[in-house]
Amino acid sequence: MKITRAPFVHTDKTVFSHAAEWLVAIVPVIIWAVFMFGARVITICAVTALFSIGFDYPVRRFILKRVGISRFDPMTGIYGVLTAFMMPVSVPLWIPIVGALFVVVAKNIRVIRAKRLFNPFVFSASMLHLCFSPIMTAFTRPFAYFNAFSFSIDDKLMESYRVISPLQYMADGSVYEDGVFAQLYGFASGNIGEIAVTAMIISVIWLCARKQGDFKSVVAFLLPILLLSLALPTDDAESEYYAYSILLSGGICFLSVFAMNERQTVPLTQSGRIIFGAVGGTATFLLHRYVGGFEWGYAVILVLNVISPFLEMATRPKALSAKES
Amino acid sequence: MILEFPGGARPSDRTRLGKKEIEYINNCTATCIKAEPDRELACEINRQVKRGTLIGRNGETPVYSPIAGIFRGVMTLEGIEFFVVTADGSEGEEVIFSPESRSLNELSPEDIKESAKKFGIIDTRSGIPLWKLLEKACGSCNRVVIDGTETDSLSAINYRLSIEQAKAIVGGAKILLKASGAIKCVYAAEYYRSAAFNAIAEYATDEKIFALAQLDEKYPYGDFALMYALYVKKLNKNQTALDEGVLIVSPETAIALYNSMISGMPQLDRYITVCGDGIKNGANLCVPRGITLRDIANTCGGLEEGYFFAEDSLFSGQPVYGAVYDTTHSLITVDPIERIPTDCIACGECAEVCPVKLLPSEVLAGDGRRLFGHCIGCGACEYICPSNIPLLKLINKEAKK
Repeated sequence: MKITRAPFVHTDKTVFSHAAEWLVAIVPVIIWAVFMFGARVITICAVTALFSIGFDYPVRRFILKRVGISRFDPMTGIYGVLTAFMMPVSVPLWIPIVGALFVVVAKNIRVIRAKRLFNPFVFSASMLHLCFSPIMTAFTRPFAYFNAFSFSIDDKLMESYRVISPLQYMADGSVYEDGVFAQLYGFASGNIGEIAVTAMIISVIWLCARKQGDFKSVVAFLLPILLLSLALPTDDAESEYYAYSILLSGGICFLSVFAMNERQTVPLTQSGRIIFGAVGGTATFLLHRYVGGFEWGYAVILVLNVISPFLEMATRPKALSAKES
Repeated sequence: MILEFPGGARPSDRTRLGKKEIEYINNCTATCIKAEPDRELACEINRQVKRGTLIGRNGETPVYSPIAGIFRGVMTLEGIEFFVVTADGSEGEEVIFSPESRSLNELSPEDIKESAKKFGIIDTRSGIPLWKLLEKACGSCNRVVIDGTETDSLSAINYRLSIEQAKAIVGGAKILLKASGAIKCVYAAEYYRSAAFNAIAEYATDEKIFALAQLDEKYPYGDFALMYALYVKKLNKNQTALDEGVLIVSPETAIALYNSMISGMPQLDRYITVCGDGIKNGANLCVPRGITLRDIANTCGGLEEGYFFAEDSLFSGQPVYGAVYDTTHSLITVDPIERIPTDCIACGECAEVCPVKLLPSEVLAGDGRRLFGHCIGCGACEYICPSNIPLLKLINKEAKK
């Protein structure tokens, strides 16, 4: 008779059910992005997701020597889609493929205390920005629907639709003038998944309700940004307007909702996550405000990812049982 | 107010046997009572014995034959030694014992301790002879807790005992109060066991010495969790509640003490729940102490192929070999599940269910030895881990390095 050891029962939750919760969370963002930018959004998301999974499988099978079902990590596809969210709709289709490669590299680097070194989708987007900045910052106006299957967008067509995104405005010290409601609803130019602030609010509510996200760490990231932008407005805007336009800029929301809740690269402890968020929010705002450039949020998150294991150790709760003598 | 301890997990399968009355089973082919290393025989091998005949001793604690039959001596099954008695069909023959004639007021704590020793009463919660617990408790104990919680959500034996034998539980508790010198007795069970609370309250009328404690429905309830839930006291890993002046016993122990004092019969029977998907007729049973698993399986309609018995907890219970042990409250039929571990997704669920507030996933970062110093081995982290990581096994393995 075959006898196994305890536990003899297991929760219904699996890595697949966790990934399914995330899949549900990103659906509202995809729907809004398709409405704003057309079916090409689906193509970009699908290419990034499929190539992420495709690149990850051989790594898990032949390098990490995983067996059976564990060769397939369902979160890889989610990371792929989240990376696609950080691209403009105008990117040629080889960009999602390169992005997928970066996702797989980042998700499999575990250096400090067996934890992932960098957030895969933030790392991927950062690398794409570093390597292909002109392509990654070519934003087009809303409702400029491009062919879903064209490998790249014609330059002339691209120029006729090209606009500046709210974050680009703010990176120059200006204020986005179309109004905060346009930002809130998502009638703005920008990366395909970063403009849909309302959809992201729905996502974070879902993630928190399903215990996949932590509302406190989201607030910890956003609160310093709100307070600092109220305290340190630009000269050409009312402080409230400036604060709201900063807060509702898609990139900030995106990082607070998805990067702050990517559990493998933030501390496991709640106090650690709050510190992570507060430091992240503060640093992001100050760098935006005084250094300029709108990719600082990514850099801040990646630096914090590296120190996250140490933050986790420092904020580890005291065990209730005293140490065995 | 519902009392609770930090962490813990709630398996979705709430008990299905709470409504089944306890069945009394006498017919069995053999009994096997665990023999300790310091055991000695008190009876000739292959001699005919009655129910209640002294057959040996585990240290100073007498072991009586739970059935009438032939004493076969000490035998080894799966590496464990047992006092074995096989049935010979002479059902019903038992030794006549004289009951305690003195009233409780006339008995000293020493008298009660000696009686507990004479009757061979084992605390079925800890597996320690009751007289040893009373010896330690005497003078240093201020509370007695009757632990009416189940070992697992599938089990219902403590619930049924609390309903059907409330008088004996309260009577036993009074004897334990006298023996230990404690000033108050608490009956604790999961909050939704209202029938059990009502039954106990009917007999435990003196509010100065009796209290009822409703606990949250989560598991596992060991000394650590009970002490935290009842008294917000944190125990060290190897500390027991008794070290903090609290004697915790099972309802069955209180019943055995009460019945022995009333009837003079030693503890010859055990109360268990038999449950799980691998058995046809799950039941709450009163069985001879040390009844074999084969007899249990036959009584309950047979064990399905591929299943085996584990004791007490789906989280941290051990497979049972041969017979019902003195600490077994529920026999759960389980099938061997092969789980393929995958990468930690840092969901934090393991930290959420840990009763001692550890971060069990830190074992993957090489912190196993530190974790082992705190871990109480409840298994809740492994139960909840969506990545199927054998956290408890890894913690123990790291500690041995």
